[in-house]
Amino acid sequence: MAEDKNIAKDKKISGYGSGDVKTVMSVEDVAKEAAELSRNKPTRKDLLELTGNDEFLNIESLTAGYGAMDILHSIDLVVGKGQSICLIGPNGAGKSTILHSIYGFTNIRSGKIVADGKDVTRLKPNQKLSSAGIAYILQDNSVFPDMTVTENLLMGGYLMPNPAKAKAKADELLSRYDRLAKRRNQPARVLSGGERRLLEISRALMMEPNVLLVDEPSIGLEPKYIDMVFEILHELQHDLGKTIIMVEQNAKKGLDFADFGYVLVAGEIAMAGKGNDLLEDPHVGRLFLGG
Amino acid sequence: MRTWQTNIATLVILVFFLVAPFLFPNNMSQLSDLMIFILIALAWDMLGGQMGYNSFGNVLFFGIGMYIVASSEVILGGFKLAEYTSAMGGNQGSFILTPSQYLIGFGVGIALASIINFFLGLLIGSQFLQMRGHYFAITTLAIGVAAAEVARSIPIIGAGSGMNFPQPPDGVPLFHILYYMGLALVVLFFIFLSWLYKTRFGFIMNAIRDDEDKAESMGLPTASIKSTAWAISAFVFAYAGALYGSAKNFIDPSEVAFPFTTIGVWMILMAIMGGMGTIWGPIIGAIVFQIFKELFWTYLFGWQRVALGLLIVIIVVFFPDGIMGAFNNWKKRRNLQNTAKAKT
Amino acid sequence: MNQILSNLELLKIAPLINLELLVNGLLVGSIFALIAYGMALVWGVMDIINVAQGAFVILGGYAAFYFINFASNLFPAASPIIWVILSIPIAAAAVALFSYLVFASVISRILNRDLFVSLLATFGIELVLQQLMNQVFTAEDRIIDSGLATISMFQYQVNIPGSRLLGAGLGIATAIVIVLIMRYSRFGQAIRATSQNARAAGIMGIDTNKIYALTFALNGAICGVAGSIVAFVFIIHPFQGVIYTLRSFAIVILAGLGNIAAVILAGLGLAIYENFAGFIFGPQLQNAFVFLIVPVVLLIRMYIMRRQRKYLE
Repeated sequence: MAEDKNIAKDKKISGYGSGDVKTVMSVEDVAKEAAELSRNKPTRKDLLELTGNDEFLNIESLTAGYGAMDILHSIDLVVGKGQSICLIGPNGAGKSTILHSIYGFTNIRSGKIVADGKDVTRLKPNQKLSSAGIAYILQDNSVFPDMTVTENLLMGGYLMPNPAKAKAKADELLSRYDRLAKRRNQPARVLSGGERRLLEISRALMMEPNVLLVDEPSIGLEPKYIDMVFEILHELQHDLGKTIIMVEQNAKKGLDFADFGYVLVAGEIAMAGKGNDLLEDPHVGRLFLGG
Repeated sequence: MRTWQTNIATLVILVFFLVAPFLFPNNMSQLSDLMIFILIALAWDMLGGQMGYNSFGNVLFFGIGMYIVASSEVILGGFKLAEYTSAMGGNQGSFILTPSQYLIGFGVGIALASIINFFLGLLIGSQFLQMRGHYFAITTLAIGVAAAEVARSIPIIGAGSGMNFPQPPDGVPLFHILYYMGLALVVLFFIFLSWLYKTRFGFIMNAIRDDEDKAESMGLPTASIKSTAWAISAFVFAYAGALYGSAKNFIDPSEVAFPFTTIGVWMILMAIMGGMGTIWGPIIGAIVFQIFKELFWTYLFGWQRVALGLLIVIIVVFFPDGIMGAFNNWKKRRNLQNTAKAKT
Repeated sequence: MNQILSNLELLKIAPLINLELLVNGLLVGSIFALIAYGMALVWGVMDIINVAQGAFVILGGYAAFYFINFASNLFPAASPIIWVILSIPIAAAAVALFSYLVFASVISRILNRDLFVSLLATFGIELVLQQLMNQVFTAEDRIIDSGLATISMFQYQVNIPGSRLLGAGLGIATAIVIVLIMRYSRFGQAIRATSQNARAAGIMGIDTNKIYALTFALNGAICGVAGSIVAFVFIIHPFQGVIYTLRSFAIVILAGLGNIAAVILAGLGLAIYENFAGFIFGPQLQNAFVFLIVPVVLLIRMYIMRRQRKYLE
């Protein structure tokens, strides 16, 4: 393994990482590196310090999984209002499972999730969306192909009690994104990859959530759209004050975007820190950045 | 994979089947049905289990084989087919075959049936096997249903009222002949499949099941392999159909020849029950199924289809891996435990 | 052959026979189309082919039959047509409830499995249901007398049974109601979303399992309506469900999934085609023509797709 190859050899972070053949690692090496990382796990105090003691969304020793199998083991996670975090980690570490747990798709064995001072641990997805202000942006191709762009947006407001209000909200979103407005009456299947992602994001805004769970925003996108997606997310965070929890396989891009990064290994938080600090950490570099 | 245990088990089962007619002389018709079931379960699994082409339409060859044998017996017995079928309403007495006529008609018929259906299978398979997945299953189902309806409208084979087989002459031990002929093909087919599944041909069949696009893009001759496999199974189905029709001694177009609601589903059920994609699965499945079926029909008559329907639902919902699947899982678990023990 | 030619000749000499075949085809076809639409709905939304569709229809027929028997004994003075109309919601509710139970016990367990599994499992249900009905309701043919006369036109050259007219009318009314539900109600919106992308529908806060259960129950209600229509237009017999399953199957294949207009057109078209084929080639060949058209159409579709280097999948 190349010991001290400069991870920042490519300062401008573009759509793709800079891994080459030499960066391919065996499973054993990944496990070894990962164990190295977990040696000084962050405590709750560390996490709170990171966010400046703001705990808008707060997960406390959460154990959860699918069926009878636990995937997450006693996870802590804190994020402040209007902040963003990015979860990185090797395949199967449980990154998406955290998002699923926050949204209510998993079996939660123990621990609790608090959003805006309210315990939301046991809420179902529809309650999360309608009363806890949490929305989920699904990875890869989640539009309704035979519905028009407008209808897709209206589906995002399916839980709104008042259809007229949903219509108004859809119009507002359309006026914000001109590219969608142009295609408002076309079925979603004819949209380009970038337009689809835009529609997926705006659809999640229909219920006016405070917290956005963003699952792999760059997956399956052409490189030129990836920057666009991150720009939009940036806007949502900094202009509209949304709190963002993101899973991103392109760790460079994700850590560059987010205020904080969490490194997940085997269902536990191995490391947490400012996005930029993690980018420069040699262990993280070897494992995820192809350094 | 084959250990001395399986060799001995195979031998014991073979010896049992060889002497079964002497042990159960009163159950000859059930025993010959069992041979037929093993044949069709193996032949179905060759396509469904090994190649991933789940077909409902193999009864097409089953029925055609049956009609060919019956016709061959009539014609080689020196009668005109049209006269025979039109007279069969009442007067059977004037169509008497001698034992040698009967046996020659049967032998020639079964050979013809198998060979004709082999080529018919090639021809049909080369077209319909271009479909994939659901559409293939659905199309074959429609073919099975259509075959019965078409047969229903052809007067020379008795149309809707069906066709009798010529009466087996006295002194011909029909069920013993059917049973041993069934057993003979079971043994040959089993040996053939055990060999085939280890050859390149068998591997390509598995590759088609796992990912046909990849198999094709690797340049494997998927089209010809599919048609050939389909034709081999058509051969076996026609042979089995010939035996089945002879055992029933009467062909009804939709109940006996193209029975898409009975045999057409049973063949799949037997393969699933035993374990799809294994060589022993369909055999075990056929034996277990035949036992269940006979028990239902004997002790639950009037409710037998309720019992059978429930059995189908329970098997496909709860035991999709079948008996062999459960056995293999158990073996795997035991091995894991053993290695775990060896470590400590 | 001569018979066929003379039948064709007859159609030319007496053009009104064409009209009769056409009208009867349309009437019968609208009943078949209704049943097929239910099958297409379940197939499209949750990838389940319900082979027990026909048995559900027959079950609806029995529900209607026993309700009408019961009610007309209670109020012998009332006109039978009232009971016929009233039997429709009763049968719909009964079969919808039954379907829900089938969903909860069996279908919910095979939702994410291969389509092939659903064919076998629902076939098992069909077997169970057939013989259960045979035991409970006996094998006697049942028919409801709607009390409607046959309408004859053009000096008895065109005869249309009044019950068929009523049946088709009720079938069309049901179809319209369902189209409106699918198009404008929240429930319909949720069904469409779930069928197009179940995962995304879940994210939008739709309980997809509930939608699957309700869709299956809605199909049951459709079968119930169709069953009570069948009971006064044709006859009810425990083992006769297969006819309806196979017809629906043929219609759905010809029409493709998810498009109600295509299903209705295919249903009407198939019935008209079938009536003419039956008249020209003789009734014994009518069914053969129905089922042969399925592989033929699929083959043609496959050849077209092959030329575009696509597969029928």
